[in-house]
Amino acid sequence: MRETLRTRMGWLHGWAGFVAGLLAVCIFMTGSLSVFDTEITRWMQPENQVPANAPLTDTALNAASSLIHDQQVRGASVFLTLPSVRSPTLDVLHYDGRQFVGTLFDPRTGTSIPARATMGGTFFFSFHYTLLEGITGTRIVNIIGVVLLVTIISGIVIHIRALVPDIVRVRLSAARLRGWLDAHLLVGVLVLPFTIMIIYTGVLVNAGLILPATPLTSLFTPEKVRTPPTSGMKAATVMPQPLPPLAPLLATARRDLQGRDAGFILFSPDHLSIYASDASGPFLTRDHADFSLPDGRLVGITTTSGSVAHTMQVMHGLHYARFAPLDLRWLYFVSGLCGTATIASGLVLFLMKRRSRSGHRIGFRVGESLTVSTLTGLPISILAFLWCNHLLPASMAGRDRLEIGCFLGAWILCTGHAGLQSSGLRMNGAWKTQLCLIALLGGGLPLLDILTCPRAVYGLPAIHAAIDGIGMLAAAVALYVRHRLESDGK
Amino acid sequence: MTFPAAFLLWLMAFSCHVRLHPLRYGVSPLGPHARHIAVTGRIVAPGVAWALSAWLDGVTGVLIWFASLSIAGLCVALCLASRRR
Repeated sequence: MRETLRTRMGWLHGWAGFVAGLLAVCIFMTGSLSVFDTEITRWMQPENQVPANAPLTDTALNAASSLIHDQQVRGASVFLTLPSVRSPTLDVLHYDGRQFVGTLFDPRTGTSIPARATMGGTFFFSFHYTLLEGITGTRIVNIIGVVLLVTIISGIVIHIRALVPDIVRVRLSAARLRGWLDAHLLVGVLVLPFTIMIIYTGVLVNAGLILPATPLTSLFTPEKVRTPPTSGMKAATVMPQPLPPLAPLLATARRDLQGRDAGFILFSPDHLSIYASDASGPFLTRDHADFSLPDGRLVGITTTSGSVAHTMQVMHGLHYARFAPLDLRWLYFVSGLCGTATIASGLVLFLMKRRSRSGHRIGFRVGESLTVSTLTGLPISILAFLWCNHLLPASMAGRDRLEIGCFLGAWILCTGHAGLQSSGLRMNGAWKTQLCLIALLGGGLPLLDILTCPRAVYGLPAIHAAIDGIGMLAAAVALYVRHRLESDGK
Repeated sequence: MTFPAAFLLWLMAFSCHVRLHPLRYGVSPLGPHARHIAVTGRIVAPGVAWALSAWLDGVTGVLIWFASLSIAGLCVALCLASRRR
């Protein structure tokens, strides 16, 4: 009976893992990069060299206020993000339909920073949870998350007997299949707590999209055409009030939000709201203080209470990790990469087990070419995205769109290359060529950075060393895997 | 501070675990007294690491405890694998 259960779980683990795994690798890899999204944006905007912990002055706040008022008069809906340890600039931003764009101010002097237009690290963040497909993409990501949880549970059932005794066992010198299985189990079991936590919280964050609180029948009824309320029309025509000095309001908000730092300010024609920073703690709240305009009088404090709200705040906080200090952020990153490695090794194992029996079948070849284009094509496109950012002229119009085009173009080329190689049954050739490309692009990243942005490398050495170092690490891993492929082929 | 401490305690726990499975990991077997110490170390070290992490850093500490488990486990596994090769 137990063997039957294990066999059935094995089938479920293999197939559910492979189908979901192709997308899950992309979600995990970009999610791991999103841990450092702000730092990647700083790497991609070398013009912004404001050091961390630069003091915020009234001059800078006044400069931002006057720009906000000008934009409000023109009818734009803007908000202000305040300096933090990770992002030390004062940013006046608005949403352009794809991302938040706007003007960056130096918090010390109030001068605007002519930073290049780029998607920055937020590209990885939005790819991670939307797959660049909006709400539909988020639904797909959530479904993949649920399937991954099923895969993990079935995996635990399969290996339950050896889970603890074999926890640090890996036999790299054994047969290839045994070695890959050991590596899959080793990384999978050791990062299991993190993997379950990050998938579960991720599913919960957007659970409403696949498990709506409203009755399911309402999803299938045609959407009614919404007519704008008359009060909204009036609000749009109201002339925005001039803004009071923001420094005293920030001090009041900090006092009334239990000493938490302010993260950002939203503006309405007749009031402004100062929100607590997401970095204040593991509870990711939207607690805020409202002030009337133009006198800057405190109107009220909004906080959420109740055990359900607090639970959801912790779930959001744990997933987004915005409260995490630098060391914990690195641990998230490493654990995320280990999660990616677990899924990647699972994909390879799935193919290895079926190669002798089904290697000639077209379905197998499609599966293998998709695996190649995911495991090596995605890193190539990420690196191409970074190269494109540094190689395109800083003042070029539409350069952020070109960056995305470069990312997608590189990925399509990799998929085409893997498809062509698989049609001629030369999969090792596809792996080797694409691994070489990763080594070339990743290894060349520090050189490119030093040659194109020497001042930024000198001004912010830690950020540039870390990102260039990750590029070099990717190159080293790619070269090692290529070497193993060659030695196995001999 | 929390991570190095938790990491070292997890290293200790995994080392004790390896010594308690001599056939599986290809190490020399322990005597009864040493075996008793290894069993104690395998249980106590993670507990001490948990108490230390949670006491020093709260929620962050708990996350660090799990992450140090993963990284210490990987380090021990890589050491064992390289020793065998």
